[in-house]
Amino acid sequence: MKFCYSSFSRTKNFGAPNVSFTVGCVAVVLSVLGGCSPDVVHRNFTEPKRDFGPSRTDGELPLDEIKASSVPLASSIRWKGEIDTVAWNRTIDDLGWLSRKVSIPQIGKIAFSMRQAVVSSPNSWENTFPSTAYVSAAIGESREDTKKAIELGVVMLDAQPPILEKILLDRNQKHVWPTDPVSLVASVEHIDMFLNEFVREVERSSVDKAVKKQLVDELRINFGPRVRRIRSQFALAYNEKATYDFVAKIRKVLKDEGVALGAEVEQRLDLAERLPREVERIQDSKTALSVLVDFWLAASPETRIEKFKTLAPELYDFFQDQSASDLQCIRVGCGFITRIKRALFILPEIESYGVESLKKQLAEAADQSIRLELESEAVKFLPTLHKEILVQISEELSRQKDNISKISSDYGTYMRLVFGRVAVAKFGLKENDVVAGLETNRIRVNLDFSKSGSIEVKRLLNQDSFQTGAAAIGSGISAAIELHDFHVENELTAKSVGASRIRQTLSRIFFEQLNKVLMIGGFKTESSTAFDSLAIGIDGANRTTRKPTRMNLRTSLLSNESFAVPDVLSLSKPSRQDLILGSLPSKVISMSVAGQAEMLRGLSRIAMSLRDWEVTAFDRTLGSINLADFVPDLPRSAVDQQLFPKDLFFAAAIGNAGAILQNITKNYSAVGLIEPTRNMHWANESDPEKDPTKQAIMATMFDLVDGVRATNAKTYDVAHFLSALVDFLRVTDGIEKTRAEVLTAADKNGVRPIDQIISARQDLKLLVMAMANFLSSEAVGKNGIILPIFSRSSKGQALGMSGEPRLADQAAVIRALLDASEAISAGIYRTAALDLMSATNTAFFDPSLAFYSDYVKGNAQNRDGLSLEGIASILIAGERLSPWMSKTRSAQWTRASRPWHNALRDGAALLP
Amino acid sequence: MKSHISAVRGLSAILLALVTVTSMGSHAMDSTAVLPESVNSPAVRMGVVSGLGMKFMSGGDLMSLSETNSIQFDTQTLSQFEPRVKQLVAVLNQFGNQRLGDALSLGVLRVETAPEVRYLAPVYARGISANWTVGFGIPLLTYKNKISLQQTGSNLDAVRAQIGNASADINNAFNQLDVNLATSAQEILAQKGYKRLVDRSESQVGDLQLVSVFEFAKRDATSAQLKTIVSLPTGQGNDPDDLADLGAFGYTALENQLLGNYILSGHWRLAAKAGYRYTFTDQVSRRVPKNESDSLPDQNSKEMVSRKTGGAVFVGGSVTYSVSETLDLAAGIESTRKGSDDYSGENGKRYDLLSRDSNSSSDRMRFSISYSSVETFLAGKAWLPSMISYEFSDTIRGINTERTTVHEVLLQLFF
Repeated sequence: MKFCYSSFSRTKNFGAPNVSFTVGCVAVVLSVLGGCSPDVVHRNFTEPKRDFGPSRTDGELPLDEIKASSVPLASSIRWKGEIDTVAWNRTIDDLGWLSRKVSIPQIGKIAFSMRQAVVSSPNSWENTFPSTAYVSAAIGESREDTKKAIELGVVMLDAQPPILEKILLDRNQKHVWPTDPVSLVASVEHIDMFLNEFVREVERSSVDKAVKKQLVDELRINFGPRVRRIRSQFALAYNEKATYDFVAKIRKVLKDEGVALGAEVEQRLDLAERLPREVERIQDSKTALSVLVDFWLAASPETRIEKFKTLAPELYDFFQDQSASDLQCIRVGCGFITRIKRALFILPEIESYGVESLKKQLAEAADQSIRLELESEAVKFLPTLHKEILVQISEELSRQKDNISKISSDYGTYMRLVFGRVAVAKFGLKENDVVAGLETNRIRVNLDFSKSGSIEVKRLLNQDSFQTGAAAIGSGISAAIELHDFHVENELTAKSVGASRIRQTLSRIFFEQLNKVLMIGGFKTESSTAFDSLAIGIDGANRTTRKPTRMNLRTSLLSNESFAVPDVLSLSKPSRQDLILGSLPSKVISMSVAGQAEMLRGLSRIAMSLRDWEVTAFDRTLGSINLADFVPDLPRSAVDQQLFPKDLFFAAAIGNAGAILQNITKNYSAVGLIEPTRNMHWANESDPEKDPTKQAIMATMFDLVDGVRATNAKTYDVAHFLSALVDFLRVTDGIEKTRAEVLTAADKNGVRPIDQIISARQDLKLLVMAMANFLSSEAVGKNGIILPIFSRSSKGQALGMSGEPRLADQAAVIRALLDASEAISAGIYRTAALDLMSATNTAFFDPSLAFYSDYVKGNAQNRDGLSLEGIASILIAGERLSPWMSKTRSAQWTRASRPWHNALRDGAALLP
Repeated sequence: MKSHISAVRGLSAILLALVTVTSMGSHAMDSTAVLPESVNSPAVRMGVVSGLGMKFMSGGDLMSLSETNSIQFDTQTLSQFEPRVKQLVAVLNQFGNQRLGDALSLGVLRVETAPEVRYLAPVYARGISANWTVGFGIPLLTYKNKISLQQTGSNLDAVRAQIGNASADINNAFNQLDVNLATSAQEILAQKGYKRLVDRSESQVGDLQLVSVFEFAKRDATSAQLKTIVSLPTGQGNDPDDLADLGAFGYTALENQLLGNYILSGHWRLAAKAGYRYTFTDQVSRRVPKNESDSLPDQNSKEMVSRKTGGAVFVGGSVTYSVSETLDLAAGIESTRKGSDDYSGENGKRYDLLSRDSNSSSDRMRFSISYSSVETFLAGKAWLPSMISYEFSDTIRGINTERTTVHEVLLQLFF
């Protein structure tokens, strides 16, 4: 602005006017004005932050420092010693996933072999097929219903014949039957018409639905076409010139269609077929007499009068006086008197009539009479058709009634027989073959790829007792389902196992897991008593007597008591055979976060394969087994159902998983919420609407030991529980489409379990968020890596983190944060995972190992090297995170992880 | 929004000055002369006023009105509108280590305006005597303004993508924040009874001006005049329900100027002026704010208030160079200082808030070129005594005033 005024003041007299001066003046003035134009001051609007990407820029992997001698080989992979079964199972699960992710099937082979090692050694509580939980439950759970159904069925079957009789009588009265002989074709047409009309009336009648269907199907699908075939074949028979050919054709048609005529009719037809042939063979009076006798015997009284009397009146009178045996005697010439009669009276009479003439007339008479006989008999039969039908239907209904009554009287035996057939046909099991059951908590393993690949597993017995627990069972389910869904078929195919055998193996694996699901939540046994479920009440009641409350999936979810499979359960032979097995918790009942996480994950994984609104691998194995194929005694329509109802098992798995999650809101909730003030309260105490000052957005979990919450929370376990929680959310995504009646049926208050699950999903997402906040914020130490222990004071104050950081914690938390990010579409947790990976690279990557170390670099505990469990876990964490890394970091990750992929591939090649 | 009001209301003083019968003699700019006795002079002034989209702020900075009217909706601003935002911010800050709450912003609500005024003012003057000329004029205006409200730069979706969909409460809070600010602003205006902010294009009549120029001293090289201007409120005043109206008129005012001219030589001429404008107190309808932060008073705050418009003092000077007997070039500067308005009412409200930033000052530079056939006519060389001039003027400094860049053409006849 000063320039403006100074410019103005510098204007001067330009002297004499001229054009150039004028232009100059204008130019100067314009430039002065331009110079005086004030500067515009702009307002700065702060551009809001949109990129919430990783905040860490460190974490470059020092790959160039890796020496060739450090690069891992198959021989680097060793795992030996006594370990928790859960570690083994989890590694199977992880390797299976990794195999799919990096498209190296050989890694899946290691996973497959690891499980085979467990199954082939006595590491699980085994049962023969008939003594499995499933068979016990199938009998026990269905006994009462079946009994009632059978009682109702018997009543129903008894009620049907009168109804059908009335329909048949009415139909018979309405139908206009022929009175004069008509061709057999016409008779069959009448039968066809009668049956069609009968079927229509049955469909409109009050006949029971199942019987109606069976009857209509039988008449319309089976009987109707047969009748029409008979009719057309009869029409063809009429083209036969020779009578015996006609009769033979008629008989063949009826025989082919399975129509039984009865002995008397068959005898007459034999004669009818034979008579024309004998007529042809007449050469003299003796042979003529033989035919005449046969004709007489075959003919009806009317035919005798009409044909025989006309032909030979004297013989008619003579034959009329003879008995049938006399006539037979006359025919062959037995007895003295008869011979005289024959020689003196009959044979001359025949000769006098003329043998050739008689032969000709006999041929005509036989032909006419036989056809007429047949047609007349048929016409006579038609008005009685309804009776025949009623008899046959009544007999069939009676037979069915007898069959189901027998089943009811010895249901258990009958069902075991049925399941025995199933075991052989669908599982490839012989009578004494066993299926795997529950895994032990501890195993001794020896996995070695140094020379020849070998994987050995031995069971560790604790004081000669078989101890299992939530972690072993849950992780066993997860590992088995991973293999069932993705690997077993490939591995067995590679071993040239046939398709049928593969299907049997797959069925057996899934079956074994279903047994676990049943045992966890309990069921009604064969003797209609409750099975001692593996999930027990943990609120302390009856603990001193060591007779814990057992969970009942049907009722316990409504109870205030928390139920869970504890960390340690000793299995024993049951007190009663129908209980399948006995189980007792240890003196100190421990329910760890780790165990519940594995159980929740296992149940969610199996539920994922049981989602009844989707096609899954289950459908090709257990899901394809139909009960009707193994119950030939009952009408197919009555038992045409899945032997392993997918929706029912889905509901069972979800119910058991739901019980674990419900514990969060019960008195012994293991979930601690951290308030902004660092005060803590338990999830069952949370009521933010009433007390907004307690609104917490971080949550962690504590082990429960004898009903007392621990003061330390393990980050590793919290991460695993979070991942399992996300698995549950995944499996229940879309649950509204399930057809499981136990989930969709409303209770007396109109509440449907499925609605409760859908509602709970929102709360669970909140929990996912709160736990992810804990892992991404509270659990992070100063250098950005996860610390393993979070402590609280006994007065409910959050004290903070401590402990020696481990690689396993970092990997588990990275995976959990990614799970949380996907489950609730929250990018911040993915960012936190990326930051954590950078910190992990900095703190744990050791060039001398060409990979990560178990503990922070320089820690003395690193001497044992990285276990296969640790390798698999960090490989998965990296693979999952890789798509979100920068290009450079992703390429680095590929370079760092590839040697391990190759080592695993090489190791798998050594396996048999 | 308040500043937007001033974007157009501040025009009043400028327009008043522009369309008055300022030059009724044959000389350009402030070098004024009276008409000879019985000489009539009809004239037309036509002009375009641009640059109204810029304003000299109270500190003297020149800023774009689009920027000054824009509002950045960061968490601090949002918290002023909705206290619960603080809770949300506190919660979001606990997620990870990115301080998501503090980073939350709905961006900027930009009020883009491009006001432009065109005017045409017929003026008639007559020499009553040799040293006294009277005249009148009335401006006819076309007012156009392209107005748009736009929201830019929100990071709500980005923050939301970080948090996910787990919490119904947070989702609900995000949903409440996820509004189109432009639409909301229009809705709020409608709720408060303001007219919708849309493009404007309208014509109106300004205040009628009666002018008297009395030349009380005249020698060979010097002359002095007293110019008196009376403004009558024939134009539209401020509509309290319309934030984008022109509202530049509706005043009753008396202005006296003393003008002096001095001829340096045959070619150079100096002129100076000084004056004072007094505006009569009147009654106007206004919305009275409840407090300092009440930038959009409710409809029920509207009442008739007494307005005492601040007086305006101005001085100016110019130099004219006569290139020939027909062509003049002139450059000048003028400075205006206006006192604060004073509002009062009967309801004990904060009438003082209506006076905020109503004082103003401006310094303007002017340049003109004019052609006059008066001399040649008197010499018998032209058949009609007339004058045509073009003037360009611009505000080069100011306080609480819009920058006005004016291009004006004057056609004047004498007979």
